[in-house]
Amino acid sequence: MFVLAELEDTVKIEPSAFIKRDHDAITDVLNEKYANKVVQEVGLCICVFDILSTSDRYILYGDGCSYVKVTFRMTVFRPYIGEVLTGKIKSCSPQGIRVSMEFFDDIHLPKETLLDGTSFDPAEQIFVWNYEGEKLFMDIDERIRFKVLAENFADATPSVHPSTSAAGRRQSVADTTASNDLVANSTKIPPYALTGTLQQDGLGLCSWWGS
Amino acid sequence: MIIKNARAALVSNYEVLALLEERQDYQKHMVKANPNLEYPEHLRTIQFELISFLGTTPCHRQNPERIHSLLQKLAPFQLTMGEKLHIVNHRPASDVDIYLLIEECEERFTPDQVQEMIDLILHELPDPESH
Repeated sequence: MFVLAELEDTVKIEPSAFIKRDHDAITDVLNEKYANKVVQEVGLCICVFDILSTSDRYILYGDGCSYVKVTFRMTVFRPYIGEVLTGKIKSCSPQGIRVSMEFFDDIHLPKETLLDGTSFDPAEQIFVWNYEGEKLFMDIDERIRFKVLAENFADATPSVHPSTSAAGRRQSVADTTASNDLVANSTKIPPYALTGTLQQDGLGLCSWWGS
Repeated sequence: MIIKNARAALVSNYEVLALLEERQDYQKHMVKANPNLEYPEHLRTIQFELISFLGTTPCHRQNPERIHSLLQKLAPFQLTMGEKLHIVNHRPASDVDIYLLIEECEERFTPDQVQEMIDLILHELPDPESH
């Protein structure tokens, strides 16, 4: 579920933090920058695991802060493809099930990957598995085991909005940011999302397989 | 920021839990010594959520000696690193679980060997909470 990623970054330590021990000051700045954030192609960063090496510290002209290049290892949440994970069903829709793992919510189980015989019950808005005549409900908040099928990183950095005005009038900065916000809000693409499957013996609700 | 190695090492859930608990204790200690000190909210959020999530998995009752001894006993089976990690994180208690976590289980191991693995796991790692 978790890996250590080796990263290198330049850390800026403010003079108010000079009183801290080196190790603490650097860790605090790195944690502030990376904790609970997704780094593209790396995963969801949790916290700094350890610091491997630091370079000399420099104080730049005109600025009282100390700059240091740090190589460190970060604890990252990044399950590999084929790994089995346990989460809770957050919501169901006709397209599939959304699973949450408390600290990570963007897990989707498309309806094609659910077990054969699963159907969506629109009255209760949940999926029902018809197994040998028995109806097994996949309720919200039930613990569910699934296998990771694919991961998807989406770059969420703001991009330059292509100018669409035919008249050649330049859009003001206010216009472009407003339209960017609208686009971003309408299609909230998570920066890191997982797709899972239930199609294997042992997967599905934990209560189905006993403890 | 340079990514030197996106997958430098695999860590078990237990190690992450131990790290987070240690960090949380350290932070509490620092805040007690200096009440003006404040740790960033997103750091505290992820720590809290992750500790509470890992508390529901088998790893919160493990310790390094047991994990080490289990891995030593599982050595003759020649499992891959990913499979060993799976076993430590999930603590399979039945054959269905083993078949799920280990690839091509039927071809590599006989049912007796699978049962032997389950016995070793149940013996070395303490009981998880019942779901």
